[in-house]
Amino acid sequence: MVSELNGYIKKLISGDILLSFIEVEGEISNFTHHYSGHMYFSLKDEKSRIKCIMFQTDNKSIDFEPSNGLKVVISGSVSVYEKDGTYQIYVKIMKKQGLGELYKKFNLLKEKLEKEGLFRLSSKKGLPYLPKKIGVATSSTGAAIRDIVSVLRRRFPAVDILIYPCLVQGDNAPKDIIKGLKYLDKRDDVDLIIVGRGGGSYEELFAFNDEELARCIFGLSTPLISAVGHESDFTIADLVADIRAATPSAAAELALPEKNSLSERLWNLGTKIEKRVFRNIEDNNYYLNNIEKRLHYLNPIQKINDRRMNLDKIFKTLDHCIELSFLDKEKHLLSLYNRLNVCDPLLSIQRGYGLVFNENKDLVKSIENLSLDDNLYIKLKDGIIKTKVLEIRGE
Amino acid sequence: MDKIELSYEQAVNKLEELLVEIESDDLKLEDTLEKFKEAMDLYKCCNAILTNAEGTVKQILEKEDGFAEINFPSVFREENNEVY
Repeated sequence: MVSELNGYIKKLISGDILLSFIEVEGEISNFTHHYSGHMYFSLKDEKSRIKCIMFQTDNKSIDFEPSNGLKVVISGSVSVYEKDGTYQIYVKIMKKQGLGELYKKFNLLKEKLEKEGLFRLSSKKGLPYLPKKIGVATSSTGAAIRDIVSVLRRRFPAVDILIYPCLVQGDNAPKDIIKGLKYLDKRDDVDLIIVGRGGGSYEELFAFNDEELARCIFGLSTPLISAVGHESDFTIADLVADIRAATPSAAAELALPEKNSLSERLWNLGTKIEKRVFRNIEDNNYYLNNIEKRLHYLNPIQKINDRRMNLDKIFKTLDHCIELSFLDKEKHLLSLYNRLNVCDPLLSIQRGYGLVFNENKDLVKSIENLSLDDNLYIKLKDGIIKTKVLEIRGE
Repeated sequence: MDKIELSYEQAVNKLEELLVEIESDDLKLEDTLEKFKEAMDLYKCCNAILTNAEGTVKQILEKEDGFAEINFPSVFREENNEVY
């Protein structure tokens, strides 16, 4: 059966390693860009032709308009379309043929400059931490400069930007860019240069694969960021640059730190220093207070006061003792006095008794030695009576 | 302290150094205060750089007698008027 035959042939062809990845040069003919997005065409040379199909998912990446008569290099695989019994190339990548030449040129220059040491890491300059003025060499129109300016200003509004407008594609572009770079490099207020352009085709970006430009970049004394095309584009300028940015916006991001992060770092630093100093002062204060307390404790006045108090106490005790002894004496005296009082003969007189004396003023206590007619004196409380003994009677 | 001579990076690095010095335990109080004063000057200086007014966006114009600077088209900026 036909389908079996075609199936077998397909299996044979698909199993061939050589046919699973091929690169073919040729001229496009019978080109149709179907509304489904797929491209159908033939690739031919003077003697032969082959059918090709390029699916929409693959042809999206083509950066030119394929058309009849255009010489291209395609890569893909050969397989069989069983329904029609035809074999064709399933194209994955399509490039203009001329590019092969450019690519060779690029590789040759790259090798040459690499040997000379133009790409060496050791000769790359570091970027300034916070450039004051950034020079930009690029086209003054287009997305690249707009992206660069807006990103730079967003990240750090105080930065000055100096743009040197130059051609970024075509034969005159390298010379123009070199002139701009040299001018910016010579100015002493520019401390970082960005050179680049937005995305474009390989040929369009080829201005940045210029040997003279590469040497110029290498010779600059100002640090330089290159930003040519998109992430996937790599040029000689990128290799010589101190830093290669994937895109112009990325270059602007590499060029400047973000103001907020700087502010935050500065603030943190300031706070740390302030806290530490205040703590130092506090520590010193504490230490001082401590010393003051100890000094206060050691103050001799305190001791003197203590002693004085002691002395006072002793005086008080002494006083008390003296007082006590005086009182004792007084009491004693009083008691003596009282006792004496009791003995006072005059006291009896006061109570109505009388005292009898003889002529010799001796107290007469008995009748002994008394004789009749002796003179006697009786002392009463208010006077003395002179009497005579008239009779003596013993008891 | 010469403020003009120092770049932001140098000033911030100096601040870091001062912090380390201030953090060391055997620094005398007088020295701490002196360093603190220096640090605060640097801080103000850095802060001034950060809060500086908006920078300029200029474009080089090549003339017969040399180069001139003109303001970059306002499309990308809020304000720009003067032409040099």
